[in-house]
Amino acid sequence: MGQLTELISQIITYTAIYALTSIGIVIGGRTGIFNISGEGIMLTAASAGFISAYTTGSWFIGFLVGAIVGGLFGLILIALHETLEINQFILGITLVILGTGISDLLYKIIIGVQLFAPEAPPVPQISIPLLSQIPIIGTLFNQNVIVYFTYLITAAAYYFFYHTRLGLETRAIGEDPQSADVVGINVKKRRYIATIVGGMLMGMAGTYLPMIITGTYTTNIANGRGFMAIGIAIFASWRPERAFLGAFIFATIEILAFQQQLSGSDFPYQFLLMIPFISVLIIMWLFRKKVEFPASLGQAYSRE
Amino acid sequence: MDKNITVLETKNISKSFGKVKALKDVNFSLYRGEIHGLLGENGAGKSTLMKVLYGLYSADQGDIFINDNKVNISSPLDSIKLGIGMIHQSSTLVPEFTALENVILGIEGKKLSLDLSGERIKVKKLANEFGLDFPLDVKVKNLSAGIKQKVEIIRALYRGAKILILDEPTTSLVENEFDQLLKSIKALVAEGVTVVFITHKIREVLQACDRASVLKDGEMMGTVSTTNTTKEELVEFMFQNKDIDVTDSALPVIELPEVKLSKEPVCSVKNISVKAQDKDGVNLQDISFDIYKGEIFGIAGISGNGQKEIAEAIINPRRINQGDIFINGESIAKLKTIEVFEKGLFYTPEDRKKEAILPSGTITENMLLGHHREKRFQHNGILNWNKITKEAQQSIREFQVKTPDEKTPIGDLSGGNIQRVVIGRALINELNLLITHNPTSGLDMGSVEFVFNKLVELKENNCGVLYINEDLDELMLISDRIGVVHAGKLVAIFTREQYDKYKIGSLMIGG
Repeated sequence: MGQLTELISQIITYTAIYALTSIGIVIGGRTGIFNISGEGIMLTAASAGFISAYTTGSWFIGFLVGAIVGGLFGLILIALHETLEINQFILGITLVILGTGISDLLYKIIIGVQLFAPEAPPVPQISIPLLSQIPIIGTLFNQNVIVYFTYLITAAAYYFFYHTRLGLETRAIGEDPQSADVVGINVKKRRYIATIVGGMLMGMAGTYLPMIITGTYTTNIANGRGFMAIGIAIFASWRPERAFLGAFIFATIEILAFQQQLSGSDFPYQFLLMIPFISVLIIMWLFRKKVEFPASLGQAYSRE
Repeated sequence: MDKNITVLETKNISKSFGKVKALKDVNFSLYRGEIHGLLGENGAGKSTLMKVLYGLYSADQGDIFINDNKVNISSPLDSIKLGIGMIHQSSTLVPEFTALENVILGIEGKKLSLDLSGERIKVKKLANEFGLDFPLDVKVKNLSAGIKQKVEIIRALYRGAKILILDEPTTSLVENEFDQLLKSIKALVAEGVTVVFITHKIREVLQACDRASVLKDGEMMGTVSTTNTTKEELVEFMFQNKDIDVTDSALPVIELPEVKLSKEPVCSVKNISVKAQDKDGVNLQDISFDIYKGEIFGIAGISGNGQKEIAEAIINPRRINQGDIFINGESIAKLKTIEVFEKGLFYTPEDRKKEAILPSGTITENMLLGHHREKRFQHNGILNWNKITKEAQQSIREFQVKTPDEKTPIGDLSGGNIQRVVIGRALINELNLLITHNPTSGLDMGSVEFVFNKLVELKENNCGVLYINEDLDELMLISDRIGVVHAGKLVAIFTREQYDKYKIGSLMIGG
């Protein structure tokens, strides 16, 4: 019982990483902007967020800086795409490379090499009264604040896209920007907002890694999760609530592979490390015919 | 119509795209409550002028006045607020959304929630009033072109449009639907709405409009009252100095040669069924027809009812699930596309820019496409570019392609010139059967005439032609017989004596 609760608790803690990143991708994607730079955003936000939290001693400032960094990456992508008409995917790849380089650079300049790894300030844990007392699933309500934020974002994004007029309009842009344009929706503005907000969520997911998962910044801390989140967004057919489900599945796979590694079996750990990535391929293959895309995903729009 | 009140006026509107002057000092005015035809051949600038009025293009110079006030229109939102609504030539509805969602999309309001019960009643009432009813809760992708048009009109009216611009509204309508549309337009005009009716068909203008303005090469040729004008006068306006006889559907007059059809069909399609390749495709069910030597066999149907699938089944017969196809009595069911071409077939696809050419390739390269495996273009297995270039230069002369040279990327040419290359490519070798899908769509009169002449030439040379087109006027002009497709079935075949727009039209929409 205790073991199972512990396992679920860990999975939920990891779910937040994938959920925030993939919902960030989903939000941009719903306006047609496919931001594939999640890995670069996560790395830079991990570094910048951790440095800020460590130097100020405030977890909140850490996440705030992470979100700003992510938003900036989003802004760079959308601004270059809209003004210079550069292909979204080229920009995305460039930002991944930029983020990979900049994250270590920042850390080395500001923190440098230290004898003991600097520790992140603790992020508050909150137990919801009553709910957290339920056996097993109570652990869903005994988590750090960012996990609750993730629940909130999932619900809010779902409500926004499927129950508000603004959400309907946003989805219209992703389906057919010209149709949205002719009814007077400002396509460009909405694309800017969505890409920046999406970037901010990805940034928070990046900061989450040193703050919650490892406790300190390490090189390549995102470890491909930014790419796997793209798979989740696709598996989710670009729906936020399904992205959360996908995040939970991937977190489960990652934790189980990790547990296997700790259990000291003879199975080569290199293979265990591959499991999450291979799972992406398998899941993408299984769902290849079921997934749906916003029709204008990845395409530029201009009137003339 | 109230002749004393001008609701909209443009003064000296000019607009260029790169080097091309699309509009030159255009003056245009609308009276309140009139149906105003905007005539002109493809590329004359009709849509460009209206897109300027709708805020999709910004004019390089010139002024727009609404109710005598100078206005600034820089986006569709500005235009909507000024009471202008536009029904675009191709649907601008979001396919994945329901009709009702599309109608309310983008309407400004404080309401956050997507509860549409209030709107539902209002939209229903509005649609009912003008005879424009449509199912509210069906996804637009499942609606026919005629119904989509109704949704678009109601969407504009729901935003309070007083000036309604219809851009080529009859393109995907059959005759019966056109009558219905006209009825609705008349009802709108009775309520004080002003309608701009863009078309290239003179017949429709004379039938529907109070006045008509004619654009030619971006210039306004003049405005006439339809009661005081004749077909001949409008033709003169539209095609001045062009040495072409034109029908009232704005098609070149052609003389069909008397060709004695062969006894044996050149192409025989026998009971073929084909499963759709993608989600939105159509399943072909039990289709049979013969095409004889020297015959132009037309296929009529609303776009997306299996026309493309029929063409593709013939050039890629291995997709056929049931039935067989014979070319000169020989089954081709097991052949690859390249082997089908060797039997003297060629295909010019519907989507000229996406499917027929490689836009950044040169004219020479594009002319070679599909012929690249032929021995005569090779030297020891390597492409012989000298020979290919010579042949391309010859084709450019023969088909009068307007281009600086054969090295120009084909994507830089106009639609008419691209089509000349595409047709030219098909005619390099002697053909038994040409399959051609909408070859004239969007072309200027000279290029349409070119296409027609080539088809007539093929006919004289005993080649069969499978001519797929949505435009019934055109099919009736040039085809010896017309087969009608609907929902993947061939529902009827008409011979020339049996042609009847209404009969064929109602079969096209499943009547």
